[in-house]
Amino acid sequence: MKNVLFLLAFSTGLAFAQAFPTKPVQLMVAYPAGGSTDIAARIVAAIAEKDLGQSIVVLNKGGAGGQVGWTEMSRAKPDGYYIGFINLPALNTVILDPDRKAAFSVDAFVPVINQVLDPGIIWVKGDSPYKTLKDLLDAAKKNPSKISAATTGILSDDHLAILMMEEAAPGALFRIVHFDGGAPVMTAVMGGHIECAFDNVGSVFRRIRTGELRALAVMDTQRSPFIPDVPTMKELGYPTVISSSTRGIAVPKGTPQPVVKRLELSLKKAMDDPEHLKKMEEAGLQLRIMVGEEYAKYYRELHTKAAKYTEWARSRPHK
Amino acid sequence: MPQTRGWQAALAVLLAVFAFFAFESLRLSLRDALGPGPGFFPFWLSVAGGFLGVVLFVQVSRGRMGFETPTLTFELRPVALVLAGLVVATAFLEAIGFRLAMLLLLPYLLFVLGVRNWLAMGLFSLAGSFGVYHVFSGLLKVPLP
Amino acid sequence: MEGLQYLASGFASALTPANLAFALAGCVLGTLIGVLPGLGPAAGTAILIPLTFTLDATGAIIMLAAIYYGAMYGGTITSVLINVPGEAASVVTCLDGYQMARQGRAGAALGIAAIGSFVGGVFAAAALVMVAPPLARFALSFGPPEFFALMFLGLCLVTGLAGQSLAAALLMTVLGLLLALIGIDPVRGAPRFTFGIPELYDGLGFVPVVMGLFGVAEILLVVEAPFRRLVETKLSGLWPSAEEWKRSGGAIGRGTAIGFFLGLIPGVGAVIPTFMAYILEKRLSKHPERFGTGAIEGVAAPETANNAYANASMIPLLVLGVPSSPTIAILMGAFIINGLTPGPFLFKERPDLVWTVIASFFVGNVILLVLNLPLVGLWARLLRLPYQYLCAGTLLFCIVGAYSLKGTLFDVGVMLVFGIIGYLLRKLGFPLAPAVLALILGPFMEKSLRTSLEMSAGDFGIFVTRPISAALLACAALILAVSALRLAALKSIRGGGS
Repeated sequence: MKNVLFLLAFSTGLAFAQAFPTKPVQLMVAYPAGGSTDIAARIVAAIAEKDLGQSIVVLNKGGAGGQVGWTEMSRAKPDGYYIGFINLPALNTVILDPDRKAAFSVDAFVPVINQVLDPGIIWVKGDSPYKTLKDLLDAAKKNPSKISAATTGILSDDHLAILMMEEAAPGALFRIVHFDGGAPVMTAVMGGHIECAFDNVGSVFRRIRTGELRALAVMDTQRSPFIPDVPTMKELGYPTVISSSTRGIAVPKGTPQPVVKRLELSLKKAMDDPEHLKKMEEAGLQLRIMVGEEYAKYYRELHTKAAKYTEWARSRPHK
Repeated sequence: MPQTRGWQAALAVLLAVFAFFAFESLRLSLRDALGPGPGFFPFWLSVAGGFLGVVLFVQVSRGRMGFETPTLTFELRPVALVLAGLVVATAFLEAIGFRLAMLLLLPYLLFVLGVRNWLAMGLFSLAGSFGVYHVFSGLLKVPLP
Repeated sequence: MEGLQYLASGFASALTPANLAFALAGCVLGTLIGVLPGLGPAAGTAILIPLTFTLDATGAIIMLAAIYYGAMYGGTITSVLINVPGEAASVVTCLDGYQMARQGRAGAALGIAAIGSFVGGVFAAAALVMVAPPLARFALSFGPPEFFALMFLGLCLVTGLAGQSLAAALLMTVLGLLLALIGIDPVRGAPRFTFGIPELYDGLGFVPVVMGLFGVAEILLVVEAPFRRLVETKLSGLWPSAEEWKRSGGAIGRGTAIGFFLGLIPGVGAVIPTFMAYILEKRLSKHPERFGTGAIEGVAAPETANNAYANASMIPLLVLGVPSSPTIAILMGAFIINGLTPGPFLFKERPDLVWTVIASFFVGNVILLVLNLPLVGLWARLLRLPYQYLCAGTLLFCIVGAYSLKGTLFDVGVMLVFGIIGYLLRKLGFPLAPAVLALILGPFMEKSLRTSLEMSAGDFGIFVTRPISAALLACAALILAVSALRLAALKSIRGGGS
């Protein structure tokens, strides 16, 4: 009897999965149109919809650093027709920061597949007196809280990275200045108002190549293929300072497994497609495809890590 | 004088709004480790607003506003009807979809405003609902419900 | 100067049929996007980015740039015709442009807007050619404290919009500032005044509020008097009169200057130049009371500033590789998708591309003029429709616009609420413009202020120790002092009543 039931459930699930999708799928991006998440989403959507058999419509629901879009996704029907990009650790900090009063918890989303991993980077103006990471850290130690460091947002991966750096290099304290996104950071540092920036490779590697900006370190375990001359934190002796911004697709909790699998298959196929690789390379976005359990594990580990630094960020005396 | 009453009422409402903001600001911190906190500016702004509100209130009550206002007449019926239509249409916009909602709203508005030319009304409503939907959703890829 | 030589070859390639077609397409699309509510140049440009996947880099960029400044003009059309700004920068044009339309002068308003835009755009493009690099570097010296000082100065100019009751104008300004603060606190990340509604976390949203205050409220007012015609007098002429031309000349010149200089500074935004140009004109005018009732300078100045700004804001992008605004950031995205990095090195590596694009700015401005001038008559005649259709149409327009911003009903709701508020405030005679200006400037001001304080670790002195910001603040203080004195003088002339 149990076997019959099991077979029934299994084949129903299979049938359901085979029936899915019967109408267009909405892919939500929690940021306004034109940003790097949006661009990457559109690239993969255009390719994946061929395999999926139904069109994938990119929906921009920007606002509150992603919170508006993720709130909506957490409330969406978990039938596989509403999926969305999650940006880590942005999502984590939104959940972890009590002031944000997030309407969802870490369990509200099931990670499906990760697309981009943009490693953190420390950069300065091309003609800055800081030639190496050591120079910067020495200065920060000698004049604690006087060396200004820009981030692209409060509790962004950049912000957390600064705290990781301070933890790994005791005595070095930065004066953290938050901006709203990459463009103001660029203006502020290039204009000489801020001394250094904690940012991501994708936003700045072209300018590093031309020499306009100088990169001091990349916060990854391996060198960036886009700027192979820049040393990693590991090489420079700070193996714990690993930080990056990742963007992947998730579904609301409760989406049936067969549906998830189907989505995963199409998306993975699209991401492996040479067209996708080419376009992403042109856009300067580094791929780090993680699927299913691997991604879920990464998600949870990152959440724990982010919790620690979020707590620290909130209690740090900003002086 | 209806004008004065109107002004006084409006100012009273505004003062209440400022009071609300001030109160809420106090619940957020006014000062913290790095200078002004989230409540700092809203609080002082509310205070300034309150002050200005009181000044205006006094001016109005004394009959000297310093400028002429158009006489306050209200022809509320058409306004209320239009607004009601808008509110209802908005409330149901996502439930019944854009096309249907507009198909109902547009003739309603035209009728309320006095249009009796059924053909024109019909054409206009069709264009405004289905036509617009097609242009936005189809051509421009801007999703409408 | 080798620049001119490059420019010449740039023209040659900009005038090829393919690139001309792109520029034309861009202008048309841009104007349409500007007219259509809610879309705005940002969303519109982003939607069209996939198109650029298939086009070559030069063509794509020419088209996107054309869309950008085309949209600036498109927004004017609805501002003049139905008092609904097609996008943020056209708000100021509503003040006098719509009044002109009510007087049957819509043609003149649109005409002068087209011409002013042309002059502003061409001048900015020319300046780009000649003085871009040193100016751009100067613009970089604007850091957060300078921004704050600039915005503060802008806000002080609101006293120029005061009309007859300074207290009422200031009250509206304060209200606007408070409303601007709704949302997530930019420094601490804590939500303020949001009642737990996530849609409010980013603030009220400028577009729904303005659509409500200006568009919906206007319709409600019109509806009230059942036989009121939207256009009160007969359509008199589609062209500005000789006298209007004369008055507009200075406005156009000044508007160009303001739009251009502010366009150089990344992050200023399109609305501020328009407000500043308008207020400056009003202050310099011998008959300031005409502003707000249909003064043509009140249209010429902001429209010129608007387009000068749009063209000038390409300068930080091309010369420094820094986007001035989210819309330009999208344009930058187009560069990047095509494998190009805007910035000084692009000038060196691919001068052909850069100069072609610059040349196409000139071409685009001409196309815009040629395209729009004949259409002015068409738009103006649209106003002859029976008012019921115009009202219903405008409301439809507003609903679509508010919804299409973010795809949520919430914005439509906000718009309706502010429609009611605007209606009531207008009935009472409160000036709306100061509130709108404050609403735009509020978030930037607070952010700049607190970022500046982060930079200085809490020391307010940073604003006066830096030369540029000190200078700007001094100007602001001067303006406030002058306004206060003027008002005192007026009061005493009126016979000591207070």
